[in-house]
This record gives sequence, structure tokens and C-alpha cells, in this order.
Amino acid sequence: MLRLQHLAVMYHGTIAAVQGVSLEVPERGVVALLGANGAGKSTILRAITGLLPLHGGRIVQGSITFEDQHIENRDATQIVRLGIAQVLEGRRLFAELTVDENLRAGAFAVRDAAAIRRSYDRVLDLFPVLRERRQSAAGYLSGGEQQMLAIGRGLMANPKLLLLDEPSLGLAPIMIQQISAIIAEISASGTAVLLVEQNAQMALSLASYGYVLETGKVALAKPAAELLRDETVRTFYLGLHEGTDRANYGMLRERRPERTWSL
Amino acid sequence: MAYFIQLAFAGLAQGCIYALVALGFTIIYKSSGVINFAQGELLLVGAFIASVAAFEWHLNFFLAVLIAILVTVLIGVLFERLALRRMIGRPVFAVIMITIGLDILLRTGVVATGLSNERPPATPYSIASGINFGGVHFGANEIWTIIVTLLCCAALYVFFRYTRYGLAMRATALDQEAALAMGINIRTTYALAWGIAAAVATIAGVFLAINVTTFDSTLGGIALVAFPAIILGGLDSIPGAVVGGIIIGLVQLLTQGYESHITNIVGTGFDTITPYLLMILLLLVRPYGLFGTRKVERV
Repeated sequence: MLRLQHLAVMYHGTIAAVQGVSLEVPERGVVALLGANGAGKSTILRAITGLLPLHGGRIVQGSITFEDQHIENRDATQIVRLGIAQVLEGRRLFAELTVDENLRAGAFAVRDAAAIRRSYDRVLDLFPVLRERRQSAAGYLSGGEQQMLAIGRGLMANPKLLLLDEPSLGLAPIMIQQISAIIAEISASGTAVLLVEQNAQMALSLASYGYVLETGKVALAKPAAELLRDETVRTFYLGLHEGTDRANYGMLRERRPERTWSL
Repeated sequence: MAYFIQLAFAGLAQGCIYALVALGFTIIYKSSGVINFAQGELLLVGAFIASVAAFEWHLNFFLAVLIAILVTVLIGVLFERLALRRMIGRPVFAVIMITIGLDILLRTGVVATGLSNERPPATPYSIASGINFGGVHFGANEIWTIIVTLLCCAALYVFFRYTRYGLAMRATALDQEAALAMGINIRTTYALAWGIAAAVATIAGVFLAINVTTFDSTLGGIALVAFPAIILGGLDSIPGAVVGGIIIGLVQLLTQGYESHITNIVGTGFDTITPYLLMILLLLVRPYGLFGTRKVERV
């Protein structure tokens, strides 16, 4: 359904963030995109959804097709209308708007009122906690609820393909389990999912196929089950290492904790 | 007491004009982070076109105002489309300089028509008309200024709260990228902000022109007084702009009315600096204004 071929992206004409990435998302199921910070995962998502210009980025090479249509030059509004919705990293809710208003904003690209009502009911059925909190400001929800709202807001556009950027970020393990179950449910209902994660364990348990990115290139592309058995993935992404030798952590790219600028 | 009520009433009406100008500033600032220094000249152009349409083209008052609103909205939207859109992502300072450019362009444009001296304002009622009650003269223009400002506020409230594009504008103001990811067209929301700002500026301009009885190309200078109003209310708060405008209007007119008692201390013309004094005093106590967003930062 979605196909990236030899995609290359540059920021400000100088920084090559993604260099010749090809990947494919089928019409059903979950595809995982793994990689450390700065590997280019979010850049790929931005390229798909037309958010690159906002960051001073540009596709310099390659193509993106969605259901056999070229979308690399479409703007964000058109891409949402074609059926691709993105849940941004860090949830990015409209904190001062209510849950209800966040959901309605998610349906902005949909013109059909009946379709909006259907999506709205579907989202509230999927996330019953949100139903009770429809009138409270999104900023007052707990971390897990905020992630649910972010996913729900993405679903309001009634997408054929949902792009999720780090849905497990900053959540407690029990919440991660819950979010996993929800992603499985969304996928089972027929929406394709491209899941970007640093939590490889979670991503590979959901996905049928996975790609591992390293510094803007695809380092590995295999069915998820094989990735789970892969030595490199086990060592560097799952933290499982059998044998007496210590893993060569020098190979692992430095992971800096994210700096917090605001509360 | 009657004197006080008279002054407070005039102050309220004057404050409503400031509020309308301040609303324009705030709506543009909220949606795009641009402080539009051409807001005052949009007001001048609005009042000017209404006057020209009424007196040179002999049109009905309401038709004249409608034309004035259409023209200023067109100027605002075109300016956003032709100039500001290319400036997205550039330093705010550069964007502000461009709005100052528009300010100069509009004012000289009005002067260049050769019709800008001693302009009579377009008006549907005689300037002196009004009702007398308890020794106070409630001028028709003041009454209508207050009523129309209230109507504008109500219309904006309904627009922002209940319509699809109103919601889109609020969402864009809070998080541009998230709004874009939702398929919200940010360009449309910018254009809407400029359109709304231009429309309220024209309405303010028409009332202000009636209030000063004749006007020339300096009418837009009122934006300099509306500026303390938005700082007072908090740059990014729409209710703040209205409250700030009314406070400034009241304080200014009351000082004007009573300053004869204190001339030996402050001299004459003290009322012209009271808006700025008020602004400086408030900034000392509340740097974010009365209703402004307080940015919390951890270092």
C-alpha cells in the first residue's frame, strides 16, 4: 500500500538525514521501524506526511507512493485526505483544548459529518476512558490517557494507514501493554500501521515485518520473527546477549537522554 | 457624579475602539506569531474608503462600510499571501519590518489619493445626536460603538468555539505541526486571521472617525494606544485584548476629565501618557499581562 523507494532527505540543503531508504507497508498488519535516536525514523514519517517543509527538510531523491499514487509532492492536507494519519512523537495534544475538541480537530480533513460521527463513536468505544473525560482539558489527562487521545485523534481522520511515532515513549510498562493491545486491535480492524519505536520488544511483538535504521540507511529488513532472533538486534535493541563476551558497546551509538526544556 | 458617568461612558466607548484594534493584533499574533504594525493603517484605510464611498460615490452608509470591509480584508489576505507567506521560518524581526513597510505603504497610498485632508466620516446618524438622561449625554456614536463591539466579541466567541475553522485556528495557535499533521491548512488559518483583523480594524475605524468628526491620514496612530492595551491584557489572550482596551480607554478619559485638578503637579496632556504608564506599571508586577500565557521554563 505504501512504498518508499531510494528515499533521500536533506535538512537545510546540508544535513542528509535519510539516505536511500526503501521500505514497504502492506495493506494489512503492522510494520515496525526501529533505530536509535537520530537514525532518521521521524524524518521518514515527516517525508510521508508532508511535514518536511515545516522543518526545513526536502526530499532530494527517490519516491513515495501510496496506493500507486505519487505523494512526495503533495501537501499535508491532501495526504491526510488520501488516508494517511500520523500520531506525532511526544503526543503533541492541544493541551488547552478539551478531549472532545482534540478529537474534532483530528477530523478536520473529513468533510462528511456522518463519517465524523462514526469515527467519533469508534474512538470512544476503543478508549472508554476518554468518554468520561470528554469535557476536560487534554493537558490534564494522565500520560497513558494522553497517548490514547493522540491515537484517537489520529483515527478521527479515518485513515487507511496509521503512522505511530514512539507511542510507548515515557509510559509505564503496564500502560505500554495497554497501548500494544490497542494497536493490535486497530490493526485487526483493517487499518495498516507503521510503528516507529525505540522499544523494539514491543514493536516486534506486534509487527509482522521490521526495518532497522542506522544513520539514515536500512541496516536490516526482515520478518519480525527473524529480527527477534537476529544477534545484532538482540544485543543492541533488546539488550539480550548470551555468551561471555561483553557486547561491544562502542558500536552502539551514543544515546543522550532527552533534555527537558519545559514542564 | 453626572460628570463621572459622562467620562466613564465616553471612556468605555473609546475603550471599545481600542479593544477592536487590540483584537486584530492579538488574533494575528496568536495564529502566526507576527505583531502586525500595520493594524492602525488598516483602520485608516477602512475609515477612508467608507468616507470616500459615502461622500464621493454617494453610496448608502451600510454599503460604504461593507465595501470598506471587503477592501481591507482583501488587503490583509493578499498581504499575508504575497509577502508574509514567503517569510515563514524567517526571523520575527524581519517579519515585523515587513509589516511596518505595509504600514507606510497604506498611509502614503491614502495620502496619494489627494482626498485624505479633513475627511468627513461616513455616518448613519448625525454626530451630535444621542439621548440625555439624568444630566448625562449618551451620544449615539458611543452607544453604537459599545453595542457593535459587544456583537463583534460575541460573533468571534461563537466562531472560535463552535465552528470548524475556529477550532482549526485555536489548534494551529497551540501547536502548528500537530495541526498540520491533522490536515489543517495553516495557510488558510493565517489568511482567516488577517481577514478577521482587517474587518474589526475597519469597524473600529468607522466609529473612531465619527468620534473625531473629521480625520486625516494620521487616524491610524490610535494603534499606538491600542498597543499598551494588548500588553496589558497579555499579548496572546483574546479576552485580554478586550479587557485591556476598555481599561486603557477608561483610564485615559478619566484622567483627561480630571487632570485640570492636578495640572500644577503633572502639567497638561497627562492623559496621553497614562496608557503607557499603566502598561509599564503592570509589566513590573505581571510580566505576562493580565491574561497572558505564562511560559514555564526549567533551566
